[in-house]
Amino acid sequence: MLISFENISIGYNGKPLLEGLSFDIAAGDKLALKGESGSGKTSLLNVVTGFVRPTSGRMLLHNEESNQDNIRALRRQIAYLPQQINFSDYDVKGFLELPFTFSANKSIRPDREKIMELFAFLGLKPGLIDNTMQDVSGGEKQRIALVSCLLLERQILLLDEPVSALDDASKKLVMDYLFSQKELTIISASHDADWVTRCNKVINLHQPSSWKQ
Amino acid sequence: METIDISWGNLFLGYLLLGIPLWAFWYYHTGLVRETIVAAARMTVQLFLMGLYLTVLFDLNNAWINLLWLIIMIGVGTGTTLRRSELHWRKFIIPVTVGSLISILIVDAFFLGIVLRLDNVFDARYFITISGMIMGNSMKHNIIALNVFYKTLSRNKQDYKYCIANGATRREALQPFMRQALKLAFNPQIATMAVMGLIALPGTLTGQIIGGSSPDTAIKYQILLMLAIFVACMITILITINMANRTLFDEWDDFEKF
Repeated sequence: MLISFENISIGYNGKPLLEGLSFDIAAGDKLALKGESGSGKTSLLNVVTGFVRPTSGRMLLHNEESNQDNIRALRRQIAYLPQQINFSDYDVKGFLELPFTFSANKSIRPDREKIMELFAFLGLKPGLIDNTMQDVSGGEKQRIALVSCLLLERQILLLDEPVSALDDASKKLVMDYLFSQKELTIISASHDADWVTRCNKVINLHQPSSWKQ
Repeated sequence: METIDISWGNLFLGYLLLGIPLWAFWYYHTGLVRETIVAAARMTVQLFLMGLYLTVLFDLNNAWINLLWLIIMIGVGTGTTLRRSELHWRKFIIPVTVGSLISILIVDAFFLGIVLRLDNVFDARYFITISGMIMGNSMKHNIIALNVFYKTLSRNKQDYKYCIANGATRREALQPFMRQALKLAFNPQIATMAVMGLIALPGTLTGQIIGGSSPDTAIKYQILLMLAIFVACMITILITINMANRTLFDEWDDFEKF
């Protein structure tokens, strides 16, 4: 298995949020975490990023349990799209270049052609690259952030509400592109019915019977 | 050349000028009338007290007493910085104190020891006045930088997480926030430097000329003081933020409320 959640419990300030959650994710899986706001979808994504530590249980990536010593190395295997980003003092080009200024990503700096190719797949106009992040719409910002994650060419994509700001046409473009990437593993948190339907695995956080798949 | 003293009566005339802004505050219902009167009264009392203790300090001119004065001022400055930037006292008291102390020691050693070549760098006339000026200014900019850095970071935690989860080290993920803090803290100072002598006559220069120094000497002091303040601000900010960050983040690069 690529990723295993083993008997994971999450809680905040002594109050349990999720208890005894176990599921596996294989390479190429497209997994949707489903549930109401506050049900723990983002928290589960953040167990993978290391920003949420389970109160019990463990998360294994390539059979390696994440801990404070290896979390930085594990993070280099994922790309993470938060529900919202700001980066208001960046222009789009600067924002897309930002992850490649990090020492971990310097060797995989993409060329403009690759960026433009992804822009086309996701329905973004090429001229947007010269705009500031403040001037683009919410839907454009969400797709630009997705482009930045895809440029990292990681095997695992963590997407928090990836189509929440998109209109139907843009949503279809994004879904068609992402779900056609067979080798890409996607773990997503989403309210969107269309998105959830396209995923091959769905974990409903209110239905423990859906946890073991 | 003797400096013309200001009589008590004439000093009172100066206060009468304050009537103009007070009238404007009252007329536009700003609610600032009382605050302005209290501030002017506080300024008067504090400056007279300062006159008294400076006279005593200059008469004593004792290195240990001057150092003690510096430590007290750093303590007061740290308290003001933490109160104004609304940061957690327990988490920031040491970084702010150490940042202020190191910056003042480095800049004082350079300015008083190397540039002015004083036989006694703790000479009250130079050590206290120049340290005070540098400290006051660097505190002002430190407050801005701390405010911008930690408030922006808290407000935009998603941006920080985006960077960390996508491969950034903590230092790399904090760079956008540091850049913004430095820009906002230093932009006014850079603008002031750029127009100095054109649209503004700086305080040290004016004071020295009124006090009888030649314009040449006054200008040299002004330039060096501006540079010393600029450098001290940068050292204070860099030490404070970098030292604080060592304890504010956990091993997972996560942080709690500042």
